Amino acid sequence: MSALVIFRRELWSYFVTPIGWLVATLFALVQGFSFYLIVELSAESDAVFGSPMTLFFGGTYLYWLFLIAVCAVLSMRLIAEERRSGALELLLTSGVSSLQVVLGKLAAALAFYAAIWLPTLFYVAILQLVGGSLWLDPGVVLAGYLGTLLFGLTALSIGLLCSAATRSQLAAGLSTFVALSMLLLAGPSGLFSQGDWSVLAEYFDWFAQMERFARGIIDGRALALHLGISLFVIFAASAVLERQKWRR
Amino acid sequence: MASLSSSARRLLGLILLALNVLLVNLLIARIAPSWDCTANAAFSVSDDTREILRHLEQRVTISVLMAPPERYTPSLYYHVKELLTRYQQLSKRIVVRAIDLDADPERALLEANALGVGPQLLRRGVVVVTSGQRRRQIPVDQLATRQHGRIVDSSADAAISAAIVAISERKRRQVCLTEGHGEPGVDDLGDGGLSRLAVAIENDNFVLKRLPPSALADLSPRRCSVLAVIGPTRELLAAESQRIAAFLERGGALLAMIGPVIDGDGRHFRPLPLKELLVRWGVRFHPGIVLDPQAVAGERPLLSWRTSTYATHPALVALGGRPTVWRMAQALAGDRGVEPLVMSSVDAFRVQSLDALRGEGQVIRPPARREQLAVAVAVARRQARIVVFGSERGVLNRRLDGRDGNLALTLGSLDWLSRRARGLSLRARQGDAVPRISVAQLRLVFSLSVIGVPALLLAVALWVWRRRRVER
Repeated sequence: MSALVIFRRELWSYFVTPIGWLVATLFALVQGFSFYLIVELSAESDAVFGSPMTLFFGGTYLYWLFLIAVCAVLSMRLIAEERRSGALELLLTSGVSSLQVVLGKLAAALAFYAAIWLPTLFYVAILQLVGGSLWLDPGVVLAGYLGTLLFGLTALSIGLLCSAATRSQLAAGLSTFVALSMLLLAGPSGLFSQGDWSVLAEYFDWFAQMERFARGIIDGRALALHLGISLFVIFAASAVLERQKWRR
Repeated sequence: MASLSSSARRLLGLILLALNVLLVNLLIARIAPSWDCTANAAFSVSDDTREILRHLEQRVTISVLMAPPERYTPSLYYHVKELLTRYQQLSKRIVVRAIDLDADPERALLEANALGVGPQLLRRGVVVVTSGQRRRQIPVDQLATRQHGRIVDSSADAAISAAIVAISERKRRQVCLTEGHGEPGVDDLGDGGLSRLAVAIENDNFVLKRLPPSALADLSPRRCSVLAVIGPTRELLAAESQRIAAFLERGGALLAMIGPVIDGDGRHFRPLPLKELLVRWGVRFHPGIVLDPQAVAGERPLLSWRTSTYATHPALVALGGRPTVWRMAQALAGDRGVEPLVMSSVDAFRVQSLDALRGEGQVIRPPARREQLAVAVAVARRQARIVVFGSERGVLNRRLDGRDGNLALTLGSLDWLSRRARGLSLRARQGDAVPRISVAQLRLVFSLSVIGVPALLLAVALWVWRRRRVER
C-alpha cells in the first residue's frame, strides 16, 4: 500500500513539472526525426532494410543513446534528491520499508518511461496510413514495445541503484550512463574475442536481443536475463537504503 | 553489532538471490524458449517439419556456410539460423554448425572441402544437411526469393525439412536416365550436356542410373523410382514405348522433358518422341514454340522467356516461387487430371513457322484470345505419376547455374515423382514487401512525426509551466 502511495506521488511529480514534459518533447522530437529517416530509407526501391518498425526498435544509435540518456535522467533524482533534501530520512522512519520505497519509485519511473514512448504509437498509425499492412506487422510492433519496456526496466533499475548509492544527482546520472554504456558495449566486445567470453558476451548482447524483439520474436532468454538483473538490482538498491537507514 | 549482523544477512540474501537469478538464466539458456509473433509466422516451424523431426532416428548435422550481413538488414542468414534454433529445440538429433564465411574463411573452406562444396557455391552460401554418409546441399538461392536482400518469399523450412527427409531415408531412390535416342549425355561437360544436372541429382541423394535401350526390358518401379527421358531427338521404338507404358501401369513414375525436335535443315518440326504414349495419359502437345514477349530472357530474347507463374502443386514446393527460364518450349495441355504446373503470361503465343523464328519471315502474333500457355504439366493417375516439361533446354549445362529455378523445379519434380517428400507440402512464406510511397506521403510523415507530435507535447509543457506560475 505504501509503495502504491509513493508510486502515485512520484508519477504525479513527473507530470506536474514542465521538465517531465520537456523530456517527453525532446524524446518525441528525436524519435520522430529518427522515424522519418527510417521511413525515407525504407521507401527506396533498392533499400536493404525491412519493415520500418523493425529498424525503429534498436536499429539506430539514436534509439540506444536516448534509451540510456533518458533512463539516466529519469532515475538520477529518484533517491539522491530525496536524500539531499532530507526527505529520505523522513520517509524511511515513517514505517515505510526500503523495498517499498524502491518499488514505488521504480514503478513510477517505468510508468513515465512508458508514457514518453506512448506518442510513438502514433508512428504505427502513420505507417498504416502510408504503407498499409505491407509495412505493419502487429507482431513486430508488439514485440518491439515489449523489448523497449524490458530494456527500460533494466536501465531504470540500474539508475535507481546508482541514485541510492550517492547523494549527488549528477554523480548518479553519470554513473548510470557509464554503467549502461558498458553493459551495452559488452555484447559487441564478444565479436573481438573467442571462447567462453564470446559466448557470455553473446548472451548479454543487448543489440542482438533487441534485434530479435524487433523482428517479432519474444526471446525467453532476454526476458529471464533482464527480469533477473532488475530483480537483483532492486534488492541491491533496497539493501543500500537499509544500510544507510541503520547508519543514521 | 546488530547492524553488522543485519548487513551480513542482507549481503547473504543478495548473494543467494544472485545465485538464483544465475540458475534460472542457465536453465532458460538451455531451453531457449522463444515466441514468434510475426503475422506470417516467418520463424515458426511447420507442423510437417515437427512431425519429421519427431520421427528422426539418426543424427542429422546441418552446416550453414553463409556470410551474415549487417545487423538489422533483412537477412537470410538470420532467418535460417533462427529457424534451425527451433529445429534443435524440437529434436536432440539435430546438430547445427553455423560458420561465418567472412569471420572464419579458413574454417569455412575446410568444412566446404569436407562437405564437397565447390568454391562457387561456397561464395554464394550454402546449407548442407548430412546424416552418416548421406548429404544434401541446398544453395541459398533455393531457400528464399530475395530482392535487394529482402526476403520476398521464404521456402527455407520446406527446403531444409525436405533435405532431412531425403537423407534420412533408409534406401536411396533411383533415377533412371534413358540413353540412345539422341538425348544429351550425362558425361558431356559441354554447354549442351547434362553433366551438371547429373551431379545435382546425385547430390540430391538419388542414385543416377543410365538406361540404354536394351535395359528398358528390365524396367520396373522397384528398380527405377523415376524414369527420366530428357531431350530425346529420335522416336523410341514401339517395343520401348510399350515397356514404358507397362512401367507406368505398374505404378512407375516418368519425368519427360521433350522440346520441339527440328529437322537437320532447320525448316521442319519432326514428330515428337513419346508423344503417342503421353497422349494416352492425357497429355497433349500443341504444335509450335511458345514465345512470351512480356518476359523475355537470354541472348535470343524471343526464344527465351522467364516466368514465375506456377500452380499449387507438391512438385513446386522446393522451387519457392523463383522464376524459371524456358527456351524453345512447346505448349502442353491435357484432359481432366492433367495439372498445369508452369504457365506463361497471358501475352504468350505459339509460332509454328521456323522461318519466322530464324528471322527469314515475320513473327506474326495470332489475333487469338489471351490465355496462359502451360509448358510443364503433371499427371497422377492410378498409381502412376508423370511430369512433362515442354523443353529440356533449361537443364542443359549452359543454363543450369542454380540461380534460376529450373534445377529446383527438376529436383522438386523428382521428389514428387519418387514420392520422397510425401506429406511435405509447405508453402513458401511471404516476407518483406516494399510499398511505394510518394513525396507527398513522405512530407506527411515528416509533418506528423517530426513536427506534429513534439509540438503537441511542447504545448502541454508550456501549459503546465504557465499553470504552475499562476498557482505560485
